[in-house]
Amino acid sequence: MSTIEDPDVIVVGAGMAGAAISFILARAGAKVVCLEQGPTIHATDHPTFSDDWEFSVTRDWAFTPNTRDMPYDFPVTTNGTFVPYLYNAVGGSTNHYSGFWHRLKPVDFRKGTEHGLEGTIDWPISYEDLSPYYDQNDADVGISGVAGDLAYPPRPHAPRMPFVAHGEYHNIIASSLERLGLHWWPADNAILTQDRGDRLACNSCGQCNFGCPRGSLGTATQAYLKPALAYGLDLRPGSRVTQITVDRSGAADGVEYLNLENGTTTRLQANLVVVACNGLGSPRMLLLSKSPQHPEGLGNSHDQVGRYFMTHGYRLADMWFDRPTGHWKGPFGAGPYCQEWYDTDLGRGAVNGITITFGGAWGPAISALGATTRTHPAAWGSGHRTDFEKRFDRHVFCAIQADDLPVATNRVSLDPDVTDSSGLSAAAVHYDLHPNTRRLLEFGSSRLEEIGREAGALSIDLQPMDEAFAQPGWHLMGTCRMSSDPSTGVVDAWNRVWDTPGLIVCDGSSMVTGGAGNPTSTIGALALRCAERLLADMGHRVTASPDAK
Amino acid sequence: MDVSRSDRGGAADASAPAAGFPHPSRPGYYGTIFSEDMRSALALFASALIPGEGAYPSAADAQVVRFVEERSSADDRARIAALFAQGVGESADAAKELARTLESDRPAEFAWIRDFVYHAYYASRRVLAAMADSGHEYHGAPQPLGYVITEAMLVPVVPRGSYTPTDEVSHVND
Repeated sequence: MSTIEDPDVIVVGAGMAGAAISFILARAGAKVVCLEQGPTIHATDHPTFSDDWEFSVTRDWAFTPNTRDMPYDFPVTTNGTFVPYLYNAVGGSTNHYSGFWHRLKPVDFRKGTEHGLEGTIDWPISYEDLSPYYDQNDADVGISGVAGDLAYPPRPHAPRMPFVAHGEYHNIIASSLERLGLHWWPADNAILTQDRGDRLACNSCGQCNFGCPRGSLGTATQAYLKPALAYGLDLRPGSRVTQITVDRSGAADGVEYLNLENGTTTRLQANLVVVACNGLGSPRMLLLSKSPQHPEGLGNSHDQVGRYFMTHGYRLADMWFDRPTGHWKGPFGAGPYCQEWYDTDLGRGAVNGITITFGGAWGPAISALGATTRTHPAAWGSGHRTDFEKRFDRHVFCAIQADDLPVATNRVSLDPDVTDSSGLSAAAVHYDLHPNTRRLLEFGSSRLEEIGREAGALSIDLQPMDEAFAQPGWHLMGTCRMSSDPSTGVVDAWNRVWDTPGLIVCDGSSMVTGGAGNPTSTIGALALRCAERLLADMGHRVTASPDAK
Repeated sequence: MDVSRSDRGGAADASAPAAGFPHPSRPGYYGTIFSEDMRSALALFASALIPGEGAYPSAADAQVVRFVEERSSADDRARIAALFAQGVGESADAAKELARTLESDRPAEFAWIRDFVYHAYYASRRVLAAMADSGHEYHGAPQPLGYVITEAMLVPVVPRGSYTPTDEVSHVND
């Protein structure tokens, strides 16, 4: 790997966005240093080689950094309404995701026009602006699926491998949706079903969310970092940026970072700094970087940093059957999806819409514990064996996913008391479930029960929406959002921070709306578009869409 | 604010060498040692939760105690010691009674130890063998074997769905 002393660009964060930008810039000949506070994940680090793989979700492979509590994690405090999920490592949270691969739709970029509720504004770009980069990102990552979903604009330039095989649950649910006459489609997944270079086709092990040692899962590492290293990227794991530095004019001019392995602090200068630390980490980084020129933190002249946090309204459910579902094989969490109710219909008493996704999940231990919702664990004592047989190989994971509203008071700030292992303030998040989102989830719950009845489900356990309701915070969006006006966002249409020359923020925080689909595809596309503009501004050759590697 | 995490203490001296850099491959082995009394109590209690039946071993015979001991932090050890501070008794019936009492009086603590036991049990090779004998295809560690799926996957018979093009987006009240 190269060691670069005088980089053109410093990229902070090696998740999907940081990796994609690093790759595009390095390939064009720019000198790029990418700093990542987490470690490199080796194929043998994944817990799926061990019989106790399910237990790892309670420890070092927990989805939330607050449980993992590793020295390279940063804690996230909340008001108890959601559980923050993210992963700090080379490759970011794509080490720990299902690869469920949705795009936003054209209407998602125009929600300000459609209703403008709460803090909703239009994106400064359109679906058509981003579409070529979605295609490019698809080619780079490697997507399996079925072309032709009428719920999306045509995607003739987005390559698809044959779609991935699922357990028996796929056909059970698909048949039900078909009989009900509802929209459904087999999910696109960032999972290879054919070998590609040194990446092996999926072998249906069933547990993508614990990382993929075969390289089948389209992680940021597989798609971008590995080729970027070949182009001279200087990737530095275990490097925790403590602040973005600025020159006298207030322009970004570098970073200071801490080597978590030996404790040394390094000052690194560059004319361009890219922050790609996810929807919680990026606003935290900007707020940590206070200076006389930016007393409220970078990008925060209009008090916009950290606002409009969205995480998708989510209500999870387990559907129980008296026949095999094969939930423990095939991909994790990404089978058929239904977008019958994606678009706004005021008859539902709410704007925006939902996606309902069905998937496989977990093995025998978590089945015994009541699967995803843990609502009805297998009895202990003499009834355990019978109860276990009613649970294992008998459930289907269901997720009602609602398009959340951007609300100004749903906000990331710095925790005054809790710090990471280096003494840097934790991210503190206040999030209240908006009544509009709650109505969508309740509406979706009724529809899910209808689908379950048609499928012959014995019962459905829905995550209780009581006072303790805390939805999974898988998707961290909106907190340094794009805008066409500096007073309503943090970055412009090219991810340039409005009030800080030389500083880019690009990741889930850039998203203005979240749609009702998983965001990694959008994050990757935004990063490729951003990188292309950076190259043009730097005077480097703008390259055409890369061939699939 | 709900911190919901263990106390990490205050600010570290950034100039001091970091205390190692634990790697994620470490699945949580803390070198914690249980006393013989704790082992005995846990074995009785775990087998009250999951007794042996047919080809399936009891929790004790499935080496649940060893699993829990190997994966317990010092905090976990203290928590388990507190659970069994009054002893489990000498018999399976006494262990069942303790489980019933915990479940009703201290449900969060009961759920925690139950979850630990269930995880331990279904990671046991003896249990996996019993599952295989019962006709389950599941074989334990997902990798490197994976699974072969031969069933044909359905695709929509009648494609449905629509989207609103950018230039047709209008206000909901229009």
